[in-house]
Amino acid sequence: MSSAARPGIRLPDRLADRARDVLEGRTPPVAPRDAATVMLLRPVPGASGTDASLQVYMLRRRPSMAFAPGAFVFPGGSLDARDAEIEVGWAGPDALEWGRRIDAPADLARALVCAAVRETFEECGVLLAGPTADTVVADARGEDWEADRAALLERSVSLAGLLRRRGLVLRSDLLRPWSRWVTPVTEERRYDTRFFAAALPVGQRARDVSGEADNAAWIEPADALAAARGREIFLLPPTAVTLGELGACGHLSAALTARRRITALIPEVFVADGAVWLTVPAGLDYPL
Amino acid sequence: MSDSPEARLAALGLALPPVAAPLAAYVPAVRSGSWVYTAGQLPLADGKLLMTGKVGAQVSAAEAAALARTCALNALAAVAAAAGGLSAVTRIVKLVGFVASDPAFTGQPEVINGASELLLEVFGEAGRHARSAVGTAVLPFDAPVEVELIAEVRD
Repeated sequence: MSSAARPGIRLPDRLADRARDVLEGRTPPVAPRDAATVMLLRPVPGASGTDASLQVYMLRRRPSMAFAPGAFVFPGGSLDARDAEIEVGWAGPDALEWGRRIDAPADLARALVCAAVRETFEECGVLLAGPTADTVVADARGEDWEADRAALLERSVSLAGLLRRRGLVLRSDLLRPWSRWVTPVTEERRYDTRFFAAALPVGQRARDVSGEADNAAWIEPADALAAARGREIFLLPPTAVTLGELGACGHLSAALTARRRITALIPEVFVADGAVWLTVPAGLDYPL
Repeated sequence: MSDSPEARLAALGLALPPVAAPLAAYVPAVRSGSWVYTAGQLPLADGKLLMTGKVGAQVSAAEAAALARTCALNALAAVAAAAGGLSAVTRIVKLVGFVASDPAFTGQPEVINGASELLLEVFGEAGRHARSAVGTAVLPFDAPVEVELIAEVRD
């Protein structure tokens, strides 16, 4: 079959055992949870002009986490019930249009955009919202913002509620749909994740504030891939593919104007030569 | 086989899921005399498709077999709801499995074995059934596999 012609990534033993259990019918597969992740982008500091190369903000997941411990990832996370609130100040394409863009029903699309903005604020203190449809919060640092962020994290407030109280609108137009990855069917924790790209708003700073991370950095995609090849950092396959795509864009404006077709990408799992292998979907370049 | 089908299922670490709500103008299963016919069952868990795509392209045969097993479990839930429990099933008569296939893929039988093997594990000899395993271009919502069952049931 087609997978035999594509390079495989050999699964480590722990994941391979679980994969065999699912493939051989001993463990039923689980349904994926909806999730959103955001690649925050900025030009390399000090560079000028539109062809400055870009950096992306990445976090290292704490080694104690259940899903992808120790992996370098983009900020993001699962949808929660608060993301479905309809009464949210909104700028940019409406839910129906977002649904068309990210291959989702309108209600789910709105919730995914909310989750993307919420997670970006929770995990790096960057807020993609503004007082009007064409302005953005200039600086989301300080004690009052930190209190809001803590309230979001402990789920005592929704993003919609926070924006309402501060008189802000969610700037959905600052997000660009990038891709959709679904965790392989064999895994214990599965996510159906929409990837978005966004430029870091002028004036705002990304901060390592997430309790889920023990390291955070702005990094050029090619440098992250080189570090992964040198086994200095660990990247999940979708992260590696996405870094390759961002690197190929070269600079910020190219990444933000890239035309992306969003379909579900699911790494394929198969058994060969006594091992369990994973391949990225055909047509994608696996840069590691 | 002395254990009840429910006990066999539990021993496999499985439980009957809620019957999947119909996606259009039909019912999940119909009883006609001594037989229960199910609607085609997709690989859904918690109301979500486990995977999408074509087998032999985006989905491997081994993955598709695991999905077919989930389809069969969903079909058993539909049978149980129509028959008043799995213990009312006297035998599985026929299984039809559809595999959304890449044009070059010809391994439909091994994919649908994922469904057939579950029926044998749950019903033993009474789970042996006639079968069709069909390759098709596309299935609803881009599901890779769909399975339907005919079961004979006690009055």
